[in-house]
Amino acid sequence: MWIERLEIEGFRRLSGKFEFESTLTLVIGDNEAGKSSLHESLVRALYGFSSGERRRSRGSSLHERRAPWDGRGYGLVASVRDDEARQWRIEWDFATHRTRLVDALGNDVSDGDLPGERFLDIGLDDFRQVCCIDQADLAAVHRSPSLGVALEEAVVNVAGETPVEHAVERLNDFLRSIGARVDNLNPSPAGKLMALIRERGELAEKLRAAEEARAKLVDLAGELALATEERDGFLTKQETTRQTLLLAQLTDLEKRLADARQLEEQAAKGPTGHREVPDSVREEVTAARDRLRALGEQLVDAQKEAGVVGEAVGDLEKKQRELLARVDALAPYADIDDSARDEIQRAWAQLETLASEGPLALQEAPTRDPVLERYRRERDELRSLMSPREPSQVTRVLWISLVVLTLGIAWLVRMLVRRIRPSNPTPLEDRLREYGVASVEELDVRVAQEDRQIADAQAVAKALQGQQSSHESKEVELRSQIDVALQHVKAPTAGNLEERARAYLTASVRHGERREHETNLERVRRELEQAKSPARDRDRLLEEQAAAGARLRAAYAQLAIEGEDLDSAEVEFQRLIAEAATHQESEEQAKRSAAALRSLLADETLESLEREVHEGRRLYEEHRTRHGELAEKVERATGLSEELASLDTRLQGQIDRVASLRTQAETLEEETGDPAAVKERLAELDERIARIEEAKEAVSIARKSLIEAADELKREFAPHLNAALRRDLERISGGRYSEAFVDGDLAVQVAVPESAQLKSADDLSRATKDQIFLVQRLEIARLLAPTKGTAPLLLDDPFAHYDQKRLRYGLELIGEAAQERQIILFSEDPALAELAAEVCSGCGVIELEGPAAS
Amino acid sequence: MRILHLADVHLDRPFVGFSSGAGDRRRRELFEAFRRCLELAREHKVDLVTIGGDLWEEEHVQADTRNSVAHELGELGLPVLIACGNHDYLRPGGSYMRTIWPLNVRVAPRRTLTEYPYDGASVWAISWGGQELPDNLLERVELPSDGRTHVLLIHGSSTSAWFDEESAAYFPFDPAVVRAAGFARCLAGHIHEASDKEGVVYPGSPEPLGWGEGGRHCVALVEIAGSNVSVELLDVNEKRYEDRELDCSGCGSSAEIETQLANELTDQDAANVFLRLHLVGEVGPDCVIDPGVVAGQHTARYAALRLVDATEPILDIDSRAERKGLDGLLVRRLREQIEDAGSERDRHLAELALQAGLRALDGRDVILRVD
Repeated sequence: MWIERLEIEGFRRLSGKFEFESTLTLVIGDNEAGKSSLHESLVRALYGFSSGERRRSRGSSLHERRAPWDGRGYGLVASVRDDEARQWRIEWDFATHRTRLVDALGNDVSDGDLPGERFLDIGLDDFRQVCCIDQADLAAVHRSPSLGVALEEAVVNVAGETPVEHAVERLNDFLRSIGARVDNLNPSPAGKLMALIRERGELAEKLRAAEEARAKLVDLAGELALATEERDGFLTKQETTRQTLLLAQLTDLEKRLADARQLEEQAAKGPTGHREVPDSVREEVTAARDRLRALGEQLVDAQKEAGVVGEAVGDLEKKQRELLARVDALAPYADIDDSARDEIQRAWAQLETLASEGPLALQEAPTRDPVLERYRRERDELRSLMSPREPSQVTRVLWISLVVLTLGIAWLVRMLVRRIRPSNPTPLEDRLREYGVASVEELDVRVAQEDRQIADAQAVAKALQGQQSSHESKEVELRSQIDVALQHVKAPTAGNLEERARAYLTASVRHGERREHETNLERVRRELEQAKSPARDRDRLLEEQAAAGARLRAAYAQLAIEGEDLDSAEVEFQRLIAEAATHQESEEQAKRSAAALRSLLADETLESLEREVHEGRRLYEEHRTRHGELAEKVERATGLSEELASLDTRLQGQIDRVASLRTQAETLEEETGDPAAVKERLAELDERIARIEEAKEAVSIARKSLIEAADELKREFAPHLNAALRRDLERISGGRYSEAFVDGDLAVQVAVPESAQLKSADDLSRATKDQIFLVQRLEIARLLAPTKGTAPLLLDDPFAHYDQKRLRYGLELIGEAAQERQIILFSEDPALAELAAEVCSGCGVIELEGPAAS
Repeated sequence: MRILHLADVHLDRPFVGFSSGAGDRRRRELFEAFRRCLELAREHKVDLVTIGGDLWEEEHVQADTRNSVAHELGELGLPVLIACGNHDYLRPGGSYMRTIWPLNVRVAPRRTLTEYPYDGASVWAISWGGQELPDNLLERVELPSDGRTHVLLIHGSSTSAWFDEESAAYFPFDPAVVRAAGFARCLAGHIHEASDKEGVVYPGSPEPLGWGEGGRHCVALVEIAGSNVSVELLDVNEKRYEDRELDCSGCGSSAEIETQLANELTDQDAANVFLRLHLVGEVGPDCVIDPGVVAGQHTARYAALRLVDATEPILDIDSRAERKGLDGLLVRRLREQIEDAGSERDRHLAELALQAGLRALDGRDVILRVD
């Protein structure tokens, strides 16, 4: 930017209008002419006063001290042009410290920013450091934080290059153009990329829906095929049923027609002539004949029965006679009281039993053996020969046994010895030999045995004697019992008891036999009476038969039938009956046929029925021709119509279902759309999106790389200043200084030619410092220009300490710089104007005339 | 007996990479190619037409296309036997089941290799059913010793024909096994380039279906006389796909590119050429290449013209890398990234970033082309 004009209403003692060139303007004036006020008013035009400057210190503030001295308005109006040559007006009312920024059209576009900040993007302090040279306190530019940042940004954009911000912004513009957000690269909601992604999503969804629809279509088509097959099955069944029904109906109609024709024929037949058989006569004949037949049957049975029992009657009569004879023969026993028969019989039986047992035979007592008798007598003697001891009875037996055993053994030994050598017998042995025994013990045994036998025989004899005595008393008792019984039944008393008892028992037996015969006789009498009954029945039946025959003949006679031979008459009668029945039947048949025909035809006629048959046949044949032989043979059409109606309903349902499925399938197939075209578009979108994504990533990388490179360059602004200093310092210092270095804090050092050592610029002469700091400011201003705009330089007498030669170099330097920016140079030296005009054509000059001018 | 064998028409398939509308046009051309095949059947008075699968693409075929195919085959009137392929597999409720076929058309069942006896020869065929054909299908075949000539109709990859790994994934078979089974010839589908090797005949797709599908595209005319079988491949395609490069080095403007293009695009039968032209070389940094604009009127002359801009702008990168300013530092940084890129994509992105960064620094309007 540059300041075109300044209209000062009042600033200190300065007022008036001042015009400035866009290049170099030289303000010439003596001391107190107002150069410093103009210089400051230019600064204040851009920045006003800071809050610190408006704060009072020691009674007043800097702001107040700059107020007009003569009471005029404290303010100014500056006309400026920005780097695009647009004109702006800055209005300041310093009294209230209010400012307005007005564009070329007069619009107030104030936004709260100070005009200098707005146009130059640097603060007052940085502006004063870089763009202003104050005669009073010339020093090196100090690096403030904001100036450091501005320089870092500026140094990145060395002359001729596009500022990195612009490049980044261009990349951002590109990102925006493809629809990517600048901050996170995500698709912008309304951007191209999002539109493509959205379209791709919609198409993918469409394709997915189409594929789903296609899958459904396949299922549906399968279902449709089955439904169609089922429908065809129904169709076939329906036609089969229909043809079957037509055939059944035709068959039925044909039968009806045949029946109707037959009925018509039967109805047309009339009854023939015949002999009447009155019902009464028929009933009479029937009754008589039935009666006669029944009697005949009964008579047959009666005769058969009479024949059968006739023989039995004879037998029974014979048996009766025999029984009578027997009863008569036993008449003497009729009055016998046989009540005692059993008692007497039992008693007599017991007597007989006793008698049969007879008198008990007493056994003779056994005889004693003479040998043993002898032994008994000689026993002691023999024993004395044997042994003196007298053992006890038991011991004796044991001893005896032992002795016997021993003797036996001894005897055997002796016999053996004897065989071996002859021996001499002892006296005992001789005596025993006489007894015929071998030992005394043997004789003792034999004696004992004999004693036991005799004792037993004596005991038996005693028992038999007791028993014999009991028999005898029992016999007496029984005889007494018999006798009492006989007396009780008054049996004859002649003879002994035995005879009387026998006589009584015999008489009572005869009495029993007679009573049995009488019983049998009574039974035979009853049987005989019963056996004679059939004959009586037969006779009665014969009589009834004769009466019934007469009645039947009389009835036949009424029908002029000869009844002599009832069988022939019956035949004739039956013939008459059959004739009458036939007549009646044919009459009734004709009536029935007529009625049946009427029923059969109902409202129809035979002709119409014939037409129906004809039509039915035509329909059947037509169906068969169209659908082939389908009909199943059926007897009746019953149920077929209902079945056909049911099939019609089901078929219609199936047809509807097939149609519905087909419609659904067609709809689905339409819904599937053209997946090929969708896929093509999807592929195209994928490719475009991929290209955009690729470009987005590439631009992101480029942007990141640019920023990183710029950051790296920011840290290298000092070398730029160094280069500028080296270039210009050598010229402006007349070749004395050629090496100068600026560090990161903007402190300047120069290589002293004499020592080649670096020396701080602050330690150099005033003229040299002026030269160095002027160059430094010019270069910093140049560096800042691309990013901050071309700020005007306000140089208050920078050449005060220059010699003529250096003054010219300095002016040349300023003249070159003024080609790029506005420079307003304040000086007391009027000659400077001429020199300035030489180095800078078009240089403007403002001459301040001194205090009187204001 | 004379058979016309065709396969791999791929009706209604999508054509990616074409401009909008070109896909529809190409699909119509495929149907026209199918018609030409049938016309050849009439012309050569064949007794049977066999279709070796992939007549259409199951997931893309439209009802109208199916019905049109059925109509054309019905009009043909000759016996037609179809063995479905992996793209038009046979399934309940699928496109084949939904199509009402004329009586002269028979579709081989899936799962079972079935004999179709015709006068003079028997054709054995099996359709794909959404899954791989049964393993050892051909090893298990037992042909009857009836003195007839037996021909196999199948969709798969013969080891005798060229195929890539993807093709080989679909029922690969050894021609020797086909011969050992007793088949006089195998009429196959699946390989889009026509061939007749080791007893296996691939007619190829009637039309090439994309760049990279070179070779011949035919129908096979098969003559069976007793046990002798002869095959003649008849070219049927009208279109061809070509890839070419155009060196645009030194062009400073799109007008220069257009001039180069006009000199290049001089094909007499351009209407039958699907041309993919790769623009290469270094062009001026302000040279704006909009493929759609640059192709201009040539697009209408070609079956399809696709320009691929592979040019690189002259950005004076080497000399700028030496500069001390921001651009020099940017070039150096991104060159490092390019050299250190871990993948081709990263390298490509860094190259694009370099272009974009320099263009932005140069204040150029076009940073990168994305359309």
